[in-house]
Amino acid sequence: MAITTDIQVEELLEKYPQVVGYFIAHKLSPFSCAGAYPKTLGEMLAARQVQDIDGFVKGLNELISAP
Amino acid sequence: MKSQIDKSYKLYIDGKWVDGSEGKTFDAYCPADGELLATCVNASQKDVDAAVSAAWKAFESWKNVSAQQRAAYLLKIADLIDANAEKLAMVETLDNGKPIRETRNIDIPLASDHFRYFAGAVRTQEGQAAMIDNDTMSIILREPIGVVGQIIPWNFPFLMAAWKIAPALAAGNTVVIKPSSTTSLSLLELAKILDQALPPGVVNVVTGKGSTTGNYVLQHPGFTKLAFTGSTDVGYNIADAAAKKLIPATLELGGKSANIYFADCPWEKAIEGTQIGILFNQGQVCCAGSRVFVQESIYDKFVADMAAAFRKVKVGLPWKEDTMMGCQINEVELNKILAYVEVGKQEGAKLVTGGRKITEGELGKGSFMEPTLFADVDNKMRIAQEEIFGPVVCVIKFKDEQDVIKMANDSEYGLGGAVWTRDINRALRVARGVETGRMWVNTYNQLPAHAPFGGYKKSGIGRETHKMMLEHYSQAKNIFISMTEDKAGLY
Repeated sequence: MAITTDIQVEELLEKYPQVVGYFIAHKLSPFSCAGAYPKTLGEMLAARQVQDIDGFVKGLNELISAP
Repeated sequence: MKSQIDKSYKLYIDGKWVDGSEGKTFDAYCPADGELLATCVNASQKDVDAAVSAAWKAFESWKNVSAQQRAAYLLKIADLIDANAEKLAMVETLDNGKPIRETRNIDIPLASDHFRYFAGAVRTQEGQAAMIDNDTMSIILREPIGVVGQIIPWNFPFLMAAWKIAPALAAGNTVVIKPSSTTSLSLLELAKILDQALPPGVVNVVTGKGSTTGNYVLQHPGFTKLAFTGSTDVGYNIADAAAKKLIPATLELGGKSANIYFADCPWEKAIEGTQIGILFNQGQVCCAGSRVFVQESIYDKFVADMAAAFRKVKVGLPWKEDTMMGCQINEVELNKILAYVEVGKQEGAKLVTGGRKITEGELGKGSFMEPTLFADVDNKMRIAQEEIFGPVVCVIKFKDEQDVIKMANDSEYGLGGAVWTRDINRALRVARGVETGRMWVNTYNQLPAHAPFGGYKKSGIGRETHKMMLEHYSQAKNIFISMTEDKAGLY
């Protein structure tokens, strides 16, 4: 499954718990004591003012595709 | 042990246990061994509507219940919590992964004490009266706000529920409360107690995912106040939702607290204080003492003694009596902490001890982490600025008071902190100088009902605990009285 900006962060982390390291490397924390960020990936990246959203999502897809 | 948990839980709305209207559920797992504990309801918009309606219906009578009677209700809840303390402690331990010694001695007794404290506090509430002039009197009374929407985190589910519910009810409000979907079980067990103690609809519990149920709560037009404990990132969403409805919100958010040690600190107690600061609840504490500042003259010995103390900590299955540190809440959180360990190494901090997931033996199935100590940390490093939320401490050297106050304040957060010294004058100067809502002196992570807790800067808005919460959960009514028969003479 390809990750898109429409996926809920909650769903993303449930399916691919390993991607949290990718977020931290990009200075983003998708999970906290409140749980997973309660919006879509796109909404989270926009709220955190990530400039290259497409690049971020592309990197995520490469990460989950890696053997 | 796990038989104490129901196989499935329903929603608690209007004094009844009800199925979700859409039939959607989610599973709760034990973080220590990955076993399925229970199935919970993912509440729909319709379910949240029903909960809010029930709360408003109950409010019509609850707001008129006398303070004496409200206190009696809260005392009954406290008594029932105490009577069920052992079970509640075990449920919390199984669902959250925190050691049984903590749930038994801290989470559960502090929660019952919270209900008792507000039962007492509400009886002391009095209005004010003033003579504006000889013919005019002003009376100020506090009145409840209405129906409060409350969202609590996974790190202290039972205790945070008590922090939220007790003052809200004491002030005459009714409640719809949602736990984190990661740890819903102890609040559902609390609902069984509330069912024995309260009229229907006064407290309603809706469970579900943050992206669905959580957002329904946030967006619901029926609330007249929101209260949230969680991260700063999500806190922005709560503040935004409250602003759009023009209602107040109490926010208790993240932290990166400074735990400051001067050369004259009480040594053995101080070393233990670093452990209480960062290893309590596996470091999953918003006010964790995650930045340890040590004066340069004692730095090397202090770090060595800290490391030795960290290595002696017994990490184990949370339900075992001798376990000092249990497991992280889940694999995602553990992966996040491990990612920060890598960040720390890349930034040039010195990993003195820990830094690894425990994979051996009976701990291999869970999310267990070694107590971790980074030394020679620069306060500008990411590991010193960002909330890791795990058992990872950053030790930073300082020269003197001015130096350490400046570094302590070089943070976007301001929730907790401590200063350790035998010099009371210095203790007070530093406590006053650090921009934070709570400064402990020669202690850490004590959170009694009787002292206000909350953040400066991006650590939150408003306070939790203490009788000032009764003001947060009420609004001022001014009755302004002219006592003369004379006309004003303007028309």
